Amino acid sequence: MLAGCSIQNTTMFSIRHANRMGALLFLWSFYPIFGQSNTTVYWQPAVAVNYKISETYSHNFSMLNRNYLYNEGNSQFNVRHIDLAHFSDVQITDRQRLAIGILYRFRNMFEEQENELRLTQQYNLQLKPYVVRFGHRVRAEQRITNSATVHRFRYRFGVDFPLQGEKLDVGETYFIGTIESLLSIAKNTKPEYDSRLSLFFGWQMNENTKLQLGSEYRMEDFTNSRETVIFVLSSLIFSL
Amino acid sequence: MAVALGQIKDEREQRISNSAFPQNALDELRPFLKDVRRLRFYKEQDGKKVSYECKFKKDRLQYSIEYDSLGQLEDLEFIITHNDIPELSWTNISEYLEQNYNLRRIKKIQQQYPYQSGSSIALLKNALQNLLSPNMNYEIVIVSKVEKGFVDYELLFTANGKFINARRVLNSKYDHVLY
Repeated sequence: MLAGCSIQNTTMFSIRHANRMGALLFLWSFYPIFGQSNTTVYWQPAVAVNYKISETYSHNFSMLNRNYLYNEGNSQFNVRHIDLAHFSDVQITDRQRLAIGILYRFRNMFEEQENELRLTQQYNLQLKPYVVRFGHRVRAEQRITNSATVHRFRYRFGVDFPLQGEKLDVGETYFIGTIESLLSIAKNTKPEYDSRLSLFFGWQMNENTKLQLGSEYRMEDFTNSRETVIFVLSSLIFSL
Repeated sequence: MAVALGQIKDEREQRISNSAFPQNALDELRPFLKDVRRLRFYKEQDGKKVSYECKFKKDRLQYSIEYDSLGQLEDLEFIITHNDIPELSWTNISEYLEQNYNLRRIKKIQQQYPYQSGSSIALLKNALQNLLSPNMNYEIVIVSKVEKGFVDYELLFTANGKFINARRVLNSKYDHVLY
């Protein structure tokens, strides 16, 4: 009898828990639109391909495009830019990786803004004590345009876990949540501090393909102009 | 390496409701599920073998009880640390690991009570009291550095720390949050 109660309680808890998560996600996604005036909303679809050169060395190639959905008080659909990126990643222990990346941002063809070349150096540490995996990522970036070079330093803490069972199998879904702090510095400008919070739901479609949908909330330059940016994100990831 | 490298653990598991768990197994477990937390039921497939697993937390220990497709108890396991293993057994186990693997890390240790014969209820009762028994095993998951990278192995040792078998564990691809 008691065991029956436990089983029922567990199921009820899970449903309640899922509902609360859903409600929070919904409210969190819309709060800034109504709460802030200088808000921008983007839709950013991405495609990425991961391929292994050896067991410890892999490459990642990705392409994404960012589109305005809401800007300066108006709904719209305009392309902002296209990014092409490539990362080389070396596994140094079973939990630590080092990577370098290069990104080119095509912005000038869509707006009166400069294109950008970005170099990235990255360290990644993953810990998985039981089911939930915790990830720490530290990045240094050089954002190079014709007019300036901005140095950016980022730290991201992330958690991810499968939503069915303890291991992600084909056909199952997963959750990723991350929080990130950024500091940008450049000559003759004030340092800029940004914060980002993102939530993703992913689906392992088959052995090599994943689909992820999510949203990201960015509080940019929060010591000065305080801009709020919302992203609707979708990405398709292939692992070769 | 004196290890049976041919054996591979490629387990797929899915969470199921308690009603999809074998009824006779559930009846057997019911008296032991009092005051447990995080009670979960799973169906597992390892190659052609189908089994059912019940996992929960009790008195700060993470338990996992496995049944076959007909609801016959297979084993009970709970997570421990190497400090919970008697010194002599641990010396044997660590010597074996050092001699046979390029050991980088121990990921998980479980105390395992395999069902052999007799009363499965008596086995559950003893195991849930964490009684040391000569018939129990230690299941250890390690990370080993091999020429081409890092590999996980699941090894089984007797209560005295004598090696029984080893299987290579296939991990799922976790490349979705790196960039």
